[in-house]
Amino acid sequence: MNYLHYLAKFVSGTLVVLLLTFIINLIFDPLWYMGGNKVDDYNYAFDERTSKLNLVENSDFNCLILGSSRVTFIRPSEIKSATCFNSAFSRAVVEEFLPYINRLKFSGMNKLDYLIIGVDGFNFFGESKFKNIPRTAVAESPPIIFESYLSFDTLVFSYRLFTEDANLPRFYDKNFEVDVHKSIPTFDPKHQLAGAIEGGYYPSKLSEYMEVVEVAEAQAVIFYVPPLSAWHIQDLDKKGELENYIKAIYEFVNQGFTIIDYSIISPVTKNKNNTYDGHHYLPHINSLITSNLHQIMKGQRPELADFGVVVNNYSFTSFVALYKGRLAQFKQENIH
Amino acid sequence: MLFNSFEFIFIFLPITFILYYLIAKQNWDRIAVAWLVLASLFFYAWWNPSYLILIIFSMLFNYSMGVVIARLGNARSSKLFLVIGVSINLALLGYFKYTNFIVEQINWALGNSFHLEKIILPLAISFFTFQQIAYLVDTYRHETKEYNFSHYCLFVTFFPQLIAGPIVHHKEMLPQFSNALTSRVNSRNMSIGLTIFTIGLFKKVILADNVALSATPIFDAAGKGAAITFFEAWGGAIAYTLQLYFDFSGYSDMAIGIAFMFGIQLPINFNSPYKAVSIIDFWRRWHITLSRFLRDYLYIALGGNRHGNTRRYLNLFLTMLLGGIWHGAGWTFIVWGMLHGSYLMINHGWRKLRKDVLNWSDNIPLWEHVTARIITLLAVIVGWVYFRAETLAGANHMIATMTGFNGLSLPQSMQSIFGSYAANLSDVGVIFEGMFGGYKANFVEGIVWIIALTPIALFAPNSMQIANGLFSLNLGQLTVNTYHRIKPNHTATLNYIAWLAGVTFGIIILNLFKVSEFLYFQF
Repeated sequence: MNYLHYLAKFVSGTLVVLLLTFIINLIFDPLWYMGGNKVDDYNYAFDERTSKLNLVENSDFNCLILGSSRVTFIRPSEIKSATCFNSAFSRAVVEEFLPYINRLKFSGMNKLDYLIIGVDGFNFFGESKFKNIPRTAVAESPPIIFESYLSFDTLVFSYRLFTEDANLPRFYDKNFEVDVHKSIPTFDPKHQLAGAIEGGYYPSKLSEYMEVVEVAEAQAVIFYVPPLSAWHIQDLDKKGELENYIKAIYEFVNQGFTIIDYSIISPVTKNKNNTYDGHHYLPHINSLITSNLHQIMKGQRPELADFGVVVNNYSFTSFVALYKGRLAQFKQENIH
Repeated sequence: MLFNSFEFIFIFLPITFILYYLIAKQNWDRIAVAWLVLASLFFYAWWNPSYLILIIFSMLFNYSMGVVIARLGNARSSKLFLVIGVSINLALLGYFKYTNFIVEQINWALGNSFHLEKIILPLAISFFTFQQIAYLVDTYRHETKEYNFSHYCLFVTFFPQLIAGPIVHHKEMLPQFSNALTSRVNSRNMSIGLTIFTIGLFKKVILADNVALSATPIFDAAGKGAAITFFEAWGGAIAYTLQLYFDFSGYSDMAIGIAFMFGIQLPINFNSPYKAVSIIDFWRRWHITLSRFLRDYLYIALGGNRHGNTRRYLNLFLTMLLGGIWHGAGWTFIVWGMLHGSYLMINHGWRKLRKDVLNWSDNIPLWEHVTARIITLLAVIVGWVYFRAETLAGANHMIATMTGFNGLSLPQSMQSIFGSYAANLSDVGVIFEGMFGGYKANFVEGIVWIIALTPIALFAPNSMQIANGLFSLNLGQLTVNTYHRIKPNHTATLNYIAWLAGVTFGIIILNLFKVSEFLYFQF
């Protein structure tokens, strides 16, 4: 036996497996190293935390959007006056923003003109949910493409992209902006409310937001509260935490920041057809939010119609009264 | 740096080997040895550079003691130096491995609350301490012939066997370093090494790591005192029995394979231990190099079987007890050692009874062979429960559940079979609430792994038999039977194996790097 031949065959066998896997993963690019899916116009959020860091490498932006999956719906392309990067990711908690900002700074983020932060009420309630931070957000270097794409797990992601086996009702288009699948579930408030706020009130969480603002060093900071269904607000009231929730939102006004609250009960949040689960609202609703944010960025007053309120226009007492008034009206409408 | 890590497979091993190969091409034996020592020290330092001082001190100290003992020859003082040498080795091992445990026990016994910071156990200290104690003892016995410093350093630090064995003996290593080391770097040894390494990696990454998913939650639950069912406890214990074998023997295979690539042959460490027909047989098949050490340097030193049966049994028990303590500082390891000590005493007693009293034939009938294998395996599984459990309470909880003391829950569908008797069964702890409780999810996949791996462990040829069959290895003292279905060196077979091994290696690489999907819960 010629053992050089043996070695050649061994190495060839290994290379065939590795190269095939790597090429397939490059074509579908499930972790967004190389501009995403080359076969179709959609990308899935297998792990937005890591994927978005891969996506942001070598890109220039002067406006950063932070938040949870509720904020992923904000489309940077609809904000014409700045180059925005939406780095929101699923189940993001405020404690994750700081390492994330540091990570972005480490990879050469430009000085920010705008910082937009979606404030989720759940950050102020319950024990710290500070977990699931990818190593990319805390380490000095993300996993190299070879490490990620020479993996059977990633090959499964590629296969799922190929077979359109979606993991969520939402997906990313070819420009990495969120859209929803045609067959999305219908929000049914009679079932257990997904994304309902749980646990006791932790007002100290505000300091985490302030630290993020300080480190980001943006010229202008805009906060907004993503929409929540009226049933979610009613649930908060049932749990006796509505006043704390309102307090948490109003603290941003006390700190001197602009904040728009879209979670206050409105015709939009009373309509089950605008959301698939009561806390993720459809793209056309989020376009209204994006438009308002854009108006603020341009120094204009946001045209809110009857969706959302600029919290800064109210005293705390009147803001509480507004909340409770709308809740009472909603309860009245839903008495049957 | 683990063998199944990216940095080892793609960076450390290729660089170490390529440079070694280039040195070997020039026939620079001394430089080759020096390079391997340097690479091995780097490999060790990767874990924690500060402990490099410890291993270097240990090497320098033991080498110096060895030289002194050898020079003193038969002088009485040579024994003094041996005692000093062994004592300092044991003191180092004792300090790092047992101090915290001893302080805890003293605190418990005296009701004190003396606090001692946790002492970090230096990597591989148990292994390199044992190897060097054996060297000192053999030097004292005039059984060492070579005192080349660089060879000694390589004997202690050689990276494939440094972390988890096999525990090498100077007699089988030092001659290899002296004997045209570089001439053995060739395509044949590379092929053999890569193939054995691939088998080991497959056992570790694909088999052990997957079956572990069924063992870990059960042991964790038992450790917390949570309720587990009879079937869950057995499933967890069997899963761990398989995990440990495939993990540890896989790691040994990897070590042997890597060493082969460098033209160095390490001793075999596993020989299908779960095929053992007795506990004596088991210890000739499981962690063979440790058994060898315990026999040669502990059991025989205690007097072996030279002072009558009572002392022999006591020595067996003490040897296994100390073997248990060597594995770790904790009551679970002590109990595990005592269990195996007891097993060996019973086994030897049974052999004597069988031969001298019952006058049974040496030709063991099939029924006895099968019974012996089952009893041996059950005894080993019970031992592994103590070996794996974090606490004695957790282990006892597992054993109590496995023996039915915590009741027996059968499938609800069986209730109708027992009819009116079902109510009476509840009086003896038999209920019909399903075989699995809270850990059902783990067992759906887990049972598949257990079913798949059990016949491999119990009946299949082991990696060394396969390698021996493929490449006609000269396995030295520790020979294993060839797997005869393979025609050695048959070109067509080897061509097929080369492709298969290469593709398998590729698949394993794909399984090394885990990329998890974010679990969204309700988000």
